[in-house]
Amino acid sequence: MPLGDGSTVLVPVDVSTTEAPDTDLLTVSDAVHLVLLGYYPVPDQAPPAQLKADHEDDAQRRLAELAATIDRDVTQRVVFTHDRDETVDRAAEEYDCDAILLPGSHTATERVFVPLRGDDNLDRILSLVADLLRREETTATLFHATTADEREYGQSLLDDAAGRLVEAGIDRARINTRLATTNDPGTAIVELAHEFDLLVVGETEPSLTDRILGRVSTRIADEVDRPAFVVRKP
Amino acid sequence: MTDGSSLERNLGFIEAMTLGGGTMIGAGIFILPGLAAEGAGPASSVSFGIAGFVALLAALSLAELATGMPIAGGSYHYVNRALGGLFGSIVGWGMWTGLMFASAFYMIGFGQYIVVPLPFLDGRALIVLIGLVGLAAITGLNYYGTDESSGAQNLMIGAELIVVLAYVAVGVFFIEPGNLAEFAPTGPVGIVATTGTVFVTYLGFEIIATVAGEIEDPGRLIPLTMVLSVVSVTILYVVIMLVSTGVVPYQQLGSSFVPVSDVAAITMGGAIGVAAVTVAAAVAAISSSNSSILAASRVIYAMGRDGLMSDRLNVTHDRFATPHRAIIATGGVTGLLVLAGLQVAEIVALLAQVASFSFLVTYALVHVALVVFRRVDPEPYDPEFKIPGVLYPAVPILGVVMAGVVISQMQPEVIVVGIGIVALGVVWYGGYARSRTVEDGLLGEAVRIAFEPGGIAFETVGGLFGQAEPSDATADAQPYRVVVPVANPTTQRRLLRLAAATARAHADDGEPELVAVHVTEARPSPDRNVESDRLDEQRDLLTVARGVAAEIGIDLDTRSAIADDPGEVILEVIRETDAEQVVLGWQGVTDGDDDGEVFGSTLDSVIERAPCDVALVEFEQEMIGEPVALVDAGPHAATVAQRAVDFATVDGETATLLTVQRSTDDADPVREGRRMIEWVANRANLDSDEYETEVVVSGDLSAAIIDAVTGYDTVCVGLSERSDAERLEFGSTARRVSRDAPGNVAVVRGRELLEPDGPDRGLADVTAADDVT
Repeated sequence: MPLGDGSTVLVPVDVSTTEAPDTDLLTVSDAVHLVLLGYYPVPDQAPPAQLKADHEDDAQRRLAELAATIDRDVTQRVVFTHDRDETVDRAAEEYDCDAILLPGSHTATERVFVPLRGDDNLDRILSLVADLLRREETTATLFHATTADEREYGQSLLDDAAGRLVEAGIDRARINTRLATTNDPGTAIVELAHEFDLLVVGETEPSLTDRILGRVSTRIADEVDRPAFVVRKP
Repeated sequence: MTDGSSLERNLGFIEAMTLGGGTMIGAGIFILPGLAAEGAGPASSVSFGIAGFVALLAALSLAELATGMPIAGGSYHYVNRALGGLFGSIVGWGMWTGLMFASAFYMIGFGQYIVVPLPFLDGRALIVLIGLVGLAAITGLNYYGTDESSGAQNLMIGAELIVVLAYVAVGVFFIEPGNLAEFAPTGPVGIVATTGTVFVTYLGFEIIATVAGEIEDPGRLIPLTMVLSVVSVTILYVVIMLVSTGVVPYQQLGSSFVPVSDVAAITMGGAIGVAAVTVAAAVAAISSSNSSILAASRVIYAMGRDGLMSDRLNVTHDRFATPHRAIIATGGVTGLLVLAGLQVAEIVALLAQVASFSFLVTYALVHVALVVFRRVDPEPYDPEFKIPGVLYPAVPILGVVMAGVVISQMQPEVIVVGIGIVALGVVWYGGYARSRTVEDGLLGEAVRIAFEPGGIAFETVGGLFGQAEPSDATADAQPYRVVVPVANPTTQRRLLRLAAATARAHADDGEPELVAVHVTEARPSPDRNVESDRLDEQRDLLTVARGVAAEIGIDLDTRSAIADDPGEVILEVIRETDAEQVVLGWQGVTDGDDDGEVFGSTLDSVIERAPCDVALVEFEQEMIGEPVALVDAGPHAATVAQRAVDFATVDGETATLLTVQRSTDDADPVREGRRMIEWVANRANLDSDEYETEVVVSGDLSAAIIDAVTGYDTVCVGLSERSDAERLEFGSTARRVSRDAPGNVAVVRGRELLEPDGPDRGLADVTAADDVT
């Protein structure tokens, strides 16, 4: 199956602060369509409509300023919400986004780290990676962590994924693959991720503990402190 | 691409149940059993049953209203919408004070549960002090704002619920039938009187309606959570009362500050049970008080939205984004009420009863509001949940009667305070809010427009409560009405001033009156909040319109509607009010916009079909100043001249009638021009001292027109130079003037077309001007 062109990425931006978000990330690839979701966090004490009445213009302006720094058409939406995560989920659904960009403090964007879990959601992940690789200076490292007796499957997963990127017109030289043998993929990913600038991770079905403590993908992004594209499940 | 902005609905089933049910179980369960036992003995379980029934009736009516208009404000909002600002003010103040009284009640209960079990602490002063400390903590927390606190709230209510269920489950085995033998020591009167005290506990489901704008899937969840929380809490309370009075004799229970602890000391293993109950009671008091403060700030917000409360109270904090002033005000007054506990021995019962009183009045008015909404059935009101046919109108009628019965048995001092709160609402309305609200405009008018003169119910209501416009009643002679559709906040003031000027200029033809119309274009939206938002905008516009009218001193009637086609509504209002003119705002010519619409679909249909004079005004500057009428032989020339003279009165100027004549050899163009102006002025019934004349002669008509009008502040120009009624045409002169003239431009279309028999010349000249581009 060929990789689709032009992923849609949701970028949540807090529009309640005057602090301008880092915009380097947003110009990372021209092939990606951006949906800028300006969220305005509303405390329990206030109805969202109240803050909307007071701050809508500011919020719209901040988002518009941000959008103006990006040299192409982006979708903008401002939302006043009690619950950021829920809003992000809903907006991602509404705009049919392939991924959500979680910000990190790291600003370089050249080296992309792509931990692959399996065939699950692979099309979307690779589509996005291909979009990111449209920029010449970007390189991607496909990574898979596996147990000793499943190395063969892991290797074929990585080779296959790299092959599909090549098919999509990416120079093989810019694609690395790495297979790790470990019983704790989470830690392996977190450790390795520090060597890269940017993460592309697939969203996982949240388990009960995830629901309480936060999604795995979110946690990886938190711990790694690198910006991450969390690719949504179809 | 910008998709605008929106609000989020983040409250699901669990959140709504914990808000509603949590508040209801809340503190009441730990304090009320003592008061209830004192008031009615074991039969106080019946009191809870009655209170629950009254609450259920209110929940049904509220649920229908809330699904019809799921926006912040709860009961206040519905009553304000249905019955107008006076009752809105009564209910708004009633809810706010009710919530403060309830909150004070919870905090004193909090003090009691902390102080009494500790042997080394004693005294009322300490109870009050601890209540104040707790209150300060809650107020502070809310000042700084909480984020997703529902998680903590859920945990607290869950723990509390476990203690309560354990209390009931264990307690059942300790019931001494002998204690229940004297079931109703105070008789039916005592039972009903106790209902007034315990009703305070049922404030909780109202909180669901108060945050209706934030609840997901409101059509399903609002009625479900309201009814479910009322029913389950009622059952729980009935059982708790039976257990409590069954374990400890009601006389003993009644004299206790910590009734539930006393029972737990017997049933739940002494000290352990007491500790568990103490912790649960403290947690419950905090969470209930917290919910009350949250709900109070939303009521204040909703009142501010309708102009019933100062916006200064609704300012949100720059950093914490909380409505901190409203929170401080609520916390402050609640603190004073807690302090009253130092002086008043029966403070807990009194606080509870006053809170109950306020909410019983509120719910009674909610029932009335429901009946009004049902009778009138306005278009935007389309509740997803409706009280089933067999129960309507039994539910609202019974609801009002029951509220009256419960109130009638309250202590005299409570009734005095309660009436005082109602009076506060009335006085507030009369003294502060009346001039700031649009209460009599919105609904009644929307209904009249949407349903022809069939808005009987509403007119009755308006008449009953004295909110009918005086101008309607005293309209012996037909007033000279000018319809003004308002949509743009930046230009509506100027638009209204113009309309007032032209209406006044025709005072000979009838008492000048303006009719401000706002139409919200109906766009089907799953996000009802946006809908409500636009209703707010509508209110704002009409409020401003009223203010402007009051400033100018002209009668103003307001109409508003939600419709697919605003043009149709405007036409309907023109026909219905038999208006002489319509004055519309307009954005001006936009180049290269060629979608078959000349002015936009709304304006097109009005211009084409309005059975009255039409003026389309594009504002370029603040001053109306000195107007000029471009006079030609077109069909609207007389109306154009007339409008210019009307508009001149705004700033006390004199209008100029101007015509541009082509320089020719065979005639005197100046004389021709003067002749035509005179002819037009004659048709417009203008006296020669009402206008000045200017004739410009030029070879290049189109350039000369722009040059000639440049010195004037406002240019009036005829819609089309051709007498062509069946085809709307925006004449090229008008187009050019609109595009190039620096001043305001009014494009005028007369109701009666001037017969093109004019002074023999001129017509050809001006028509020729059309061809110049």
